Amino acid sequence: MNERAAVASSVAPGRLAKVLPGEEGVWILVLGDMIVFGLFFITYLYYRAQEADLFDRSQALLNRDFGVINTLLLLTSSWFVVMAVEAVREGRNRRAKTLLRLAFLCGAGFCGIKALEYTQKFREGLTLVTNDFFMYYFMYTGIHVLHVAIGLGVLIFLMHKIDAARPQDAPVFESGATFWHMVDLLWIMLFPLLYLVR
Amino acid sequence: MNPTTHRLCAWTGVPFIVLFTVAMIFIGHMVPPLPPSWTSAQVLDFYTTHGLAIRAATAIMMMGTAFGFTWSASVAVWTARAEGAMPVLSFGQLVCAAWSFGGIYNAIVDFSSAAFRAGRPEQIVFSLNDHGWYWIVMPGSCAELQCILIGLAVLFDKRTNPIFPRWVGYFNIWAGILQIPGAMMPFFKTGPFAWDGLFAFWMPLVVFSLWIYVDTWAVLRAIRGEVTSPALAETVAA
Repeated sequence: MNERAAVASSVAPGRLAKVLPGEEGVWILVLGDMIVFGLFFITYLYYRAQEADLFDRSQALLNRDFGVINTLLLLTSSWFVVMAVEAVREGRNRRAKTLLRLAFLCGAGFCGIKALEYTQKFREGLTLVTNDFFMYYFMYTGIHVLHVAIGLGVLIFLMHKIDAARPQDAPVFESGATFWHMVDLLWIMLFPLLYLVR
Repeated sequence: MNPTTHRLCAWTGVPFIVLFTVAMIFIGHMVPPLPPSWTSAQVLDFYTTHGLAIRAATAIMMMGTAFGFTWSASVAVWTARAEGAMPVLSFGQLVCAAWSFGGIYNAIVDFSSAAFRAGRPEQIVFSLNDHGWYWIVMPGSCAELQCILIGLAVLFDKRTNPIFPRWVGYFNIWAGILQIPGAMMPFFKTGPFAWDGLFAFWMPLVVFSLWIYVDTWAVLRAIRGEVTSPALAETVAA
């Protein structure tokens, strides 16, 4: 028996025995999505290698400031969500609600910046049919921002749940937080891949 | 409840997949899909060469697709039970199923009629082929919602002993999200998002098949649970 199992069996059943935060089920969604985004990244790098010149020239047309701001927004929102889960565990629901609202604002800000960025690109005549680079850029960031939107839905759901939440309800919030962190993590991978890799 | 009819309906997911796979891959030569980058002459040549095989394949696909409806019903009836008195998510699933599986009918009709008459003008065959592949990929939007509605119904099940395991709910939501990129196929004639591409065709194909297997398993498990301990299935968490 390994150490962890020994620890788990020495305490009350149902406590500590769980190793993953949140429900096990949410990890099916998270790992499944990460596999798919992994495929996205490999596909991108493969096709990038075929037309490195075109990809580099197109990448230079991206606005890195937007990318950096969005990275900061998502990281900050993840931090708020971490603190919110902590607050739920301590039974400080009002604080948790405020933190979730702040996290939501950051996420919504991300979508706003993305809309601004897309509009700027369309104005410059750059669309998803311009070339292969912009196909990947629009498709991948588009699919990602869709995940952000779903994540915002999850945050709304959690805000709705918070008033009646008890500390033992923390796994519900952990599950939602796990999804939100995945959305953040995917962007942390996507940002350097599209905006920085040369 | 008659467990036999429920099991039969759940198992119809399998003939759906088997008939479709055999017909489309081994008889009709339609997988991998005809590339959207092909010229009208290439497409006409394909339908002329394989005309008889395509018509045979579409006849079998027609029969296979019908099982998609009984299968969807077998899932919906259990999520309806999980939902309780007014199962709106389950009704939604069934309407979506009419398009996610029903949309495939349109594809079959297009492929079949493209191969129906010899000597049809090149552009008409070309256009029918386009229509067919649109109808293969586009109804993904309804399949996507069908998956997500199943997922939500599973996750909102408040019983102490849920009808479907909760991971099945998350799995369904994952499967739903993955079918979304297919909607962008009108923009591309080559690459991973074109109708023969990795993310518009192959990945949704794998996910769609997995979805049918996982949900079939979950339904059969629910039927078993109902037969062995009907009282337990009724308990709702306080």
